[in-house]
Order: sequence, then structure tokens, then C-alpha cells
Amino acid sequence: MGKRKVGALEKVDADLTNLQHKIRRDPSSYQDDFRNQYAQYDTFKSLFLENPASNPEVGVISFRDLVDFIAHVADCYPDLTARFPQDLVDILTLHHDKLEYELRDKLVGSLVLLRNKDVINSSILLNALFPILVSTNSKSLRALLFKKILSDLRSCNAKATDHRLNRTIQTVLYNLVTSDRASPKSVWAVKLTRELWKRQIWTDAKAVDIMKEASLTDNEKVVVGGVQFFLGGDQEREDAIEESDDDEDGIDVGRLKHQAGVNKKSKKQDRQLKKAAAMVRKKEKKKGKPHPLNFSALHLLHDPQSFAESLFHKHLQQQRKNKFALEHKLLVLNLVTRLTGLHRLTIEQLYSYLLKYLAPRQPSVTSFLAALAQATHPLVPPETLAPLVHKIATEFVSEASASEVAASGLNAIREVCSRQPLALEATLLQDLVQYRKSRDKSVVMAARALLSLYRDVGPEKLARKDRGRDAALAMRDGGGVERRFGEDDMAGVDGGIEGIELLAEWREAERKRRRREKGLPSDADSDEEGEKIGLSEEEEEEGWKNWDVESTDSDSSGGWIDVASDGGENFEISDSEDEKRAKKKARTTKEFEAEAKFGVTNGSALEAHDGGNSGPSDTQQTPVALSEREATLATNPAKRLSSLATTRILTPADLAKLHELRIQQSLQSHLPSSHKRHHAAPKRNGNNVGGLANRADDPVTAESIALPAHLGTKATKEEKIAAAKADRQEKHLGKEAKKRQRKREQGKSSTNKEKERQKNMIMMLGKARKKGKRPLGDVRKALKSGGKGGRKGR
Amino acid sequence: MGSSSKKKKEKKSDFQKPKLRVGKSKPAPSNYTDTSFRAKSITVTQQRALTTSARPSSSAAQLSHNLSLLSHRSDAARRDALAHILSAIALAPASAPAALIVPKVAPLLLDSSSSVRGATLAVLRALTTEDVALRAPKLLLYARAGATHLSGEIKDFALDVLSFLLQSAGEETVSCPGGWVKTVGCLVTVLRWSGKSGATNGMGQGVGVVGRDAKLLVKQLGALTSVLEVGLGVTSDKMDKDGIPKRRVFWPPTFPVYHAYQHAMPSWSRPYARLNLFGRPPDSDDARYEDTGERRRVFREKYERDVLAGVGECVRLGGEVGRTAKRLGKVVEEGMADRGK
Repeated sequence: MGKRKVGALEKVDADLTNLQHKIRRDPSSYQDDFRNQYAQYDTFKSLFLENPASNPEVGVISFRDLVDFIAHVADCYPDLTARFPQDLVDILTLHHDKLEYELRDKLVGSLVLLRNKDVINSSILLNALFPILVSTNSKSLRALLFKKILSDLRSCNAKATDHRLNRTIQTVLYNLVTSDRASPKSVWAVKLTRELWKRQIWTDAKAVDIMKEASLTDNEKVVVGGVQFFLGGDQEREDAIEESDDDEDGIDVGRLKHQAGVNKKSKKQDRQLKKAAAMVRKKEKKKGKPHPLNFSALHLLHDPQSFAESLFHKHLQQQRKNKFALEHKLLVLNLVTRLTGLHRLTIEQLYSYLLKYLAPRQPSVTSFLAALAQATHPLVPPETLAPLVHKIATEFVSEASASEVAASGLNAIREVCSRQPLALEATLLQDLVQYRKSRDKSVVMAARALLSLYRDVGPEKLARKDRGRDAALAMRDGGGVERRFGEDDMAGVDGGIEGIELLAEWREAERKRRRREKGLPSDADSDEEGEKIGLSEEEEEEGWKNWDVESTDSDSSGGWIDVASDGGENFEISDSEDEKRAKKKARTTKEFEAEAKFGVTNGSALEAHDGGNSGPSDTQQTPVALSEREATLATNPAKRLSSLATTRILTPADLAKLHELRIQQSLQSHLPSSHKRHHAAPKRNGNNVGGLANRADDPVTAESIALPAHLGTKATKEEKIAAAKADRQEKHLGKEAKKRQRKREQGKSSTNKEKERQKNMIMMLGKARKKGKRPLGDVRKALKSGGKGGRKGR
Repeated sequence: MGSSSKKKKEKKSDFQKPKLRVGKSKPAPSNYTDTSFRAKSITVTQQRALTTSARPSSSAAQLSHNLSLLSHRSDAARRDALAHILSAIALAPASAPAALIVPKVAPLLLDSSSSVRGATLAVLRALTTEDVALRAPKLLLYARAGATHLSGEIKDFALDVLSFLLQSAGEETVSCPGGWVKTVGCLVTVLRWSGKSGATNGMGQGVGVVGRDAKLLVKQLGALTSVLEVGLGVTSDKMDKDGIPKRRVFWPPTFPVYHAYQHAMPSWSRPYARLNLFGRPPDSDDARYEDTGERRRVFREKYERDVLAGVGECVRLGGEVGRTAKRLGKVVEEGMADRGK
């Protein structure tokens, strides 16, 4: 008898993985085997459908294994398995609540696998999974489905945005939210949208529309989800972007290359190196790309007026039907006021609604105060605000009330008045300013801040002696007149560009510098040159080409970039967005941050910071720059400069420069040394009343209202300790563990001793057993030596 | 004095006033209990067991004990449990109802141990024909699952189960939902004949079939033969010439009671199953084909050409395989020729 040919599957019983492997290599030869298994799957499916709660696990094979197997090889036999995806979908849809959980997860996983193999398309998968996500009671299944749906949407949008799919899913979500406004199921629409927004997969108005509808539903949970999206969604997105950037910085290609040269060569190391190289290449590519233009959700809203109005009426005014918890009410209020301030909306009843919550006994009153400040903008009539300000003044600010209360009240009044200075009449203002003579430090600071605000925006309301030199001089010159109601800057919301004249000045200065370098007279009449003030044509093109490079380089090319910080002088750090990042990096004490935010200029804590910030090169450059700038100011009337925007197209590099200049200006305006220049320069630019400190776009938080209250108080010992420990790691490590960690961080291997200690117990069992059976003589020897030469810690 | 200063501090802390801040809610007292949670249901981890007797004493209890042992992980325990059940059936069939036993026993038809499988089949053989007939659809599912199993032994054994089913409840087996199309399809797949008529790939499955393979092939051919015999109405001892099953009690009708059988209690299993009151909506493969004519039509549509092509190939092999294949060909011929009459 000849050698028997061994059949494909006789060697190993029930080895589906083996068969799967073989099928993948040669589908046509194993078609009959697959047919057998498919028939088996079919039979098992019938068995299973008789009692869906069970998992027919007979002998060695279970239904789960068969499903897994077929899903893995389905792409090899598309005609045989045509009905397979639909089978899975049907089983899941009909029985998902009864299924045994392992089988259920396997079914979901198999469907996703089929999608990844392009056996089914995304819309089939999502249409199958989403209804289950919404309807199921099982928490783990929901988590799984959510993850799968999200990852599928991500992978579909990875290479190019799949607009069609996005649109269908968005429509499904929108319908889910709007179809039944009372159901809590819409929470999933909110969650999904928020997650996709965070990952920048959905950045369009339709996604915002879903959230808008969610905020207007009747279910508290859904409403809170929608509102929180508007309040924090964009911040979350930015954080996610920053985080992902950080992740990629962690690779040190040089070191990896070195290691690959030194260490033993292995496939793993090869792979790691390749991966790192790919990552670096990707990063380089990313650098060349322009920054994605992301609009914030608040700006993408269609018709914010009606949205804010209906939010206010539905969730705040008519609270009979569904009473929200206070914190949720506060969230809604926060959104409504944020919208009001940002889009300058008019909601009359909002202010009278706020009136009743402005009492020191009201829980979380600082949030209400912050909401009031947020809702204030230059177009709110002063007579609407006056009663509110009056109430704050009477209820909060008095010698009898606690210092924190008074300070918070004063700060709230300041925040309101910085947005609408007309809200406070002269007598009340003069009264409040008197509090700077109070005994309590926090109240003093709050009152001083109010005073300095009005020195800027309305000095004639102050008593003569309180005006200060600058304001008095300005008044004498005919400036410092308070703006009337409804009067607006050119550079307000209506078309003007904030700080455009700064850019024009800078361009002029650059031009002069160039001419001087070439040896031409710097003042060759600029009138003649007319249009081509500033940079030459080539420069212009450069500005369009790789503008990102220019914007990063401009720090070194510009003459007078860094803030002058003459020794011992203080300046106020503005609270603008641009500053926040810098602040984050520079470790400052809590007090310093607080003062900087609050805008008090006499803090001695600032001095320490000053020294660190100024480099020697800066101090050399600045005088020249300043004189130059003054010269340009003298020669060029501001009016002609501001025509810059109308005569030429600004390049992205120009815009970046403009941004930089604006920050600089806001910093310089608070330098005491620049007092004289201050009078000549146009004092108020755009809507930054009192510097860029308070921009209408930025939210006012309860913390910022309560901030001055904490200024006077000394930190307790615990707080100090906590602050000192803040950036250290919490987990305590022993000496050995620390050493080991350090070694690992350096990329060094463990010692032999350590390896021996960490050896698997099973491996050591034989040795241990032998140890007990040693001959007596050996034992005696070992005892005599007293553990000499043995390992430490034995 | 570490401890005393500590105690002092503790005492002092009782009288310290918590600091209140504007806009912050009051700090919770030390004895505060959070009652804000809600629960949809309360799960009691342990409940009193309903079965009171720990030791199986009565025969019913013993039976249920043995039934529970059927899912034991040890082969020997499963086999012993089956032996007990078998003896219980033999002693008192009334106390061991098939409705209880069959659903538990049936999965063991695919057990990995051959002795367990054998014992299972023995239990099924011990049941009455009616009991088997009633549960034929379910048992057939297991038989089919076994026929396509990866393991060669189970494949072999499943054919025994199938022949047992056909012997004891042939009519029910071929007429249950999916019992005709799927069973024949399964056997055709197993024989690797599906799609044979369309594309002759030249690789006959009989090439070099010897030993165990040949034996299995013969058995599979035999199984298909007996299925077709029953399904196509070739063994006509149970059928009349019109292909109507002869199971009715008062058949043939005699003078006084022409229509009596229509009023009598039906003697066959699940008389109203064709209405499909509780099942899933059937697809074409799961449909019931209750009489021979229908089955012939479906067989012609789906499998006849494949089977004939396969038979031709096997006949050419000769030997045991050839003989069995020849018989199969004869059955197909007879069964399909019957149609003309």
C-alpha cells in the first residue's frame, strides 16, 4: 500500500484557524472544505435560532467560532457568503438583548471585520449598529457599539472626507434628536457628535445644528450635553489637537538609529525604526500643510438670536414643566449669556431674570455675576443695566458685608462696566471708588481696578482728584470723553480690522530700514510711492508662498519685537487668548497669576517675573525701535495708514504679523515708561477697552469674579505644600524602583540579578525542590558559610 | 508625646468652623450620606435555593441530576450519566419523558468522545418511535451538523444517526422544515458534488481513495441513497402509489367510516406544523416539502444533475464505492421515473 495522502483536516480535529490559514493562501482548492463549514454554520444557526439565549457549544465547536471563521474568509468566497452579512445583522437586530454576551460581541466584531474587508459598506454597518446602540439596555454593548461606530466613521474620513456618509449620519442623528424631544435616546446623538467634533471629523454647521436641536429638547440630560458642547467643545478640540502634536514629538530618531546600530538586530527593532521614520515623514508633511480653518461652534450657529431666545424661554423662564437642577440651569444661563455677549444679541427679559438671583445668599452667586458680565455688551441700554449694578452695589458692597462678598461685588461691577461703561452713574462710581481706602486688601484691589478702568473709559465721571495725571491731561487735551450709547469704533464688529494701523506703521518702518541699508535717504517721500509702501514685490510673493515659515521667522527679522522691560518696572499681563499659552509655560505662583489676570499694577510679585522675561538683546534693540516708531507716528497721519486694508490684499504673513503687533501693543500700553507716547498714540483700539484684557469673545467665569476675594487671604500651609508639590508625581517609589525606572528610561537593560529575581516561578520550582533534598553535608556547608556569596535579601 | 498631640488636634477639629465662601455651597457635614443615586433594580447576590433536597433520592430527582451531569467536563461522567438515563428509560419509560431527555441529550451527538456519542445514540434508540418522530427535526439538525464536522470520526458517526432517524421516522425526517433540501444539499456538499455538473474540474474525488476515506465515502453514498429512497418514495411499503403517506389510522377507508380519519385525533407528530404558527418565516431552503411530488420537483431543480454526474464518476471507480454508487443511481432513476405515472 502506497503512502496514504493525508487529508487537509484529518491531522488536527476541529482546527478552524488552520483551515482559515489555508483558505487564505489558496481559496479555490479549499472551496469544498469551506462549503462544509458553511453548511455547518447554517445548521448551527438553525440550532441557535431555536433558542437565541443559548450559545450552541457542542463538543469542540461553537457557533461563535464558526461566525468568526466565516467572517475572516468571507472575502474569498463572495458568492457563497452573499447572505452571511445580512444573517448577522438580522440576528443582532432581533436578538441583541437575549444573546450571550461573548457571542454578541463576536457578531458585532465580525460585522466590523466584514466592513474592513469591504464586503459590506459603511452605511450598511452603521445602519445596523446605530439602532441597536440607541435601543439596547446593556452598558457594555453600548460602549462597544459606540467605539465601533466611531472608529468606522474615523476610518472612512481618514484619507478624504466622506461627505456623503457624513451627511447621512448627520441626518440620522438630527432626526433622532428632533423626532422625540422627550426621549433620553438623543444622548447618543450628542455623544457621537461631540466626539467627532473633537476629532475634527465633523466641523460643519450641520453638526452644530444637531447640538442646537439637542439643547432645545425636553430631556435634561440631552440639554446639558448640548449646552456643554457649545461651552466646551471647541476648547476640547484644541486640547485634542495639541495633545496629538505632543505625542509625535516624543520620538528621537537619532537615538533609535544609534540603538539599531549598537544593539542586536531584530525584526522588532527594524519595525520600530521604520515606524519612527514614517512618523517623522508624516510630521514633515503636516508642517507644510496650512493650519486647518476651524470655526468655533458658537460662530457656526445659524440665527443665534432665536436660538438664545428659545433656550432662555424654554429652560430658564418657563421652568414649570421640567425643573432643572441649579447647576444645569447655570450651564444654560452661561450659554445664553455667552451667545448674547458674543453676537451682541438683545434679550430684554434676561436682565430682569438675573435681577432676582443677585443676592449674596444665593448659591453659586458668582456664576450669576459672571453670567451678567457676559451678557453685557455695548448695545445693551444703560437703563437696563443700571438697576442690576445698583442692586449689586447695595447688596454686596458695604462695610458690613464680608470682605469676599464686597470684593466679588466690586469685581462684578467692574466686569460689567468694562463692557458697558455707561451702566454706572457718577455718584455711585465715586462711592464705590472710596472703597480703595478700606482695610481689607481684596476690597482695596477690587476698588482700585474699578478706578483704573474708569480712568481709561470715563474719567469725567470720577472726582477730580481721582482722575490721575494721564486722564487729567487727556481731558485737558479734549480726549478722554466717554463714548455715548450706540457709538462704535470703526474697528468694531462692522468690517474694520483691529490694529490695522499698527501693521501699516510696521510696514513703513520696514521700508525705511531697507532704504537706509541700501544707502538711500530714509525719508524719500512716501507720498509719491503711493501704493507700494512697505515690502517689495518679491517679498510679497514670498508672503503668500511659505507664509508659515515667515511668520515663525519674523521674530528675528523685526526690529522691535520683544517687550521692553526696563529694570524694576512693572507691566500688566493681559488676559487675552494669546497670552494664556505663555502663561501656562511660565510657572508662576497662584498669587501672581491672580494679580496678572485681575489687572492690578502694583503687585510686587511681578518684579521677579520681569527679570526672567527680558533678554539682554531686547534691551539693546528697543530704544531704536521705539524712536523709529515715534517718528513714523509723527509723519504719517493715522487716517491714511488705515487705508491699507482697502488698497491692498493682506497676505497670511501680514495677518500673522498683525496678530503679533496687537499683542505687543496691548503689553506696551501698560508700560509706565511709555507714558508720554501714550498720549500721542491713539488710545483705544477696537473693542479692547482697557487693553486687550477683556475681549468679548472670551467667557467670564465664576472664578474670575471671585478672584479678588482670594487675593488678600494668605495661603494655608496645606495649600502651599500642594502648590509646591503640584508638578511632581504622586506615586511614591522606593530607592530600587527609582533606580530601575531611571535605567529603563535610559534604555538600559536590567541586571542579571534582577532577571534572576523576576524569573518565572515555574522555572524555579525544580531548583527549589532540589534544595530540600540536598544531602546533609551540603546543607551543613551552606549553613556554615552563613549565606556568604548568596544573593542579597535571601 | 505624639499620640496626645494628635488627640488634641482631633478634639480641636470638632470645634473648628468650616470656612464659607461666596458663591460656594456649604461644605457637607462629616456624617453626610449621599442619597442621590437611583437604582432601577436591586440584585440579591444569594437567594434561597428552591430545590430542597441535596441528595437525589426519588427517581425523578435522580434523572434531573443525571441530566445536569450531561454537561460535565469529564467524558466518563457524561457516559455514566447517559448509562443511568438509559437504564431509567428501560425501567420506567413513563418516569423518563422524552421531552426532558432529548433536548439535553441531543448536543452530545457531537461530543468529542466516541463512547459518549455511542451511548447517546443508544439512549435515542431506547426511546419510542413516536418520541423520536416528534423530535426528528431537531435531531436532524445535529445529524447534519455532524456530517459536515471537521472531525472525521464525528462525520462518520453522524451518518449512523441519520440512518437511525430515517429508519425510525423517515417520513418526518424528510418532510420537516429544511429536512429535504438541506439534508440532500448537505450530503451533496460532503460528497463534494456541488457544482459538479457545471464545471468538470477533472479532479475526481475518488482518485486514490482508499482505506478510511473509501469507507467514509461508501457510508456517505449509502446515507444519500437512503435519504433519497425515503424522500422520493422508492421504498413504497409506507406509501401508496400516489405518494400519500400511509400513516393514517383508518386507511384505506372502509364502508361505514369513509371520513373518520378526518375527525379522529391525528396520530402523527405536529399535525398543524404546516401552518407555522410559532416559527420564523421560512425561506426556500427551510420550507417543508410534505409530499413526494414536491420533493421530486425540488430535487430535479436543485440536485439531480449534480448527483447524476457524481454517481457517474464514482461508478467508474468500481469496487465497493462503485457498487454503492450504482445503487444510488438506480434509486434516483426509480424515484424520478415514478413521476411520470
